[in-house]
Amino acid sequence: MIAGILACCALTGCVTNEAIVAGAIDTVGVSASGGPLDQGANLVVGFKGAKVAVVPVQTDSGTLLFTPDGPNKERGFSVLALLGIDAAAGANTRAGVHQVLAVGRPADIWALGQSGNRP
Amino acid sequence: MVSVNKLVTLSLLSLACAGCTATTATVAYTPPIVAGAVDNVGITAGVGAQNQGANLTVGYKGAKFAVVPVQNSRGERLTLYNGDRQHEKTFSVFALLGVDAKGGLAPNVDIRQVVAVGPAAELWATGASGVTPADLKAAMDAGAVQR
Repeated sequence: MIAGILACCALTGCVTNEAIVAGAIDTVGVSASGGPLDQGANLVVGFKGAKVAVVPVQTDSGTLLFTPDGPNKERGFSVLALLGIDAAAGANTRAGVHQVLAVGRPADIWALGQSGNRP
Repeated sequence: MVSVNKLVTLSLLSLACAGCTATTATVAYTPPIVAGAVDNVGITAGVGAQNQGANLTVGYKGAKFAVVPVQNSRGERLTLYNGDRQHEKTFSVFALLGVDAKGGLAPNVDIRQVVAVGPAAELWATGASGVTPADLKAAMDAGAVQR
């Protein structure tokens, strides 16, 4: 799976240099798989997720893709993909899983909020 | 576990090479920013060629990557104006997996896997590193950190 996504990266973002390509693939908990490329059997108790974003940043002719954001201010395109799980069971038992993939301004905002450096 | 790491490492090397060797007739391409993180936490076991035979994970297994172009085909920087022509910013990418678990045999487990590029990386580094505004100012005054 990872190899496939990275191969797509090479074909889209790296070779043409026209797009941001980003991804997150995670497995949390107990995961067992067997057979070629996991098609034989696959078991996950917990969380398994993948998020991928491809965001163009220039046209075929090399013109920057942006949206005006006031005088002399430009903004790129944004993407936010999120899975958040908050689970509580029994006494003093909690589990939380947050998978985030962000491009553009949401990336700045999320990084600021999660870093604990709020003004 | 080792095989997966090798696979991803080789893939990332291929990405980097693809960027390095991409050239045009008149302008040499600067390769894009390529960032990735592959981590296993807990117990992982793999059997067979590149773990395709069987794979077991008890804990956490994750991978994140980002490819961010920095130059167009004419050799111009890909940046965004941020107030005036003397202030530009680059594109941001932020990928996070956060796991907070409390209870059972592991009373307090906290995992964070982050890949960040651009301003988001700076924001995250500033907050998560624990530096104070005074530390940052002192480092900038000493020239250790860019203003």
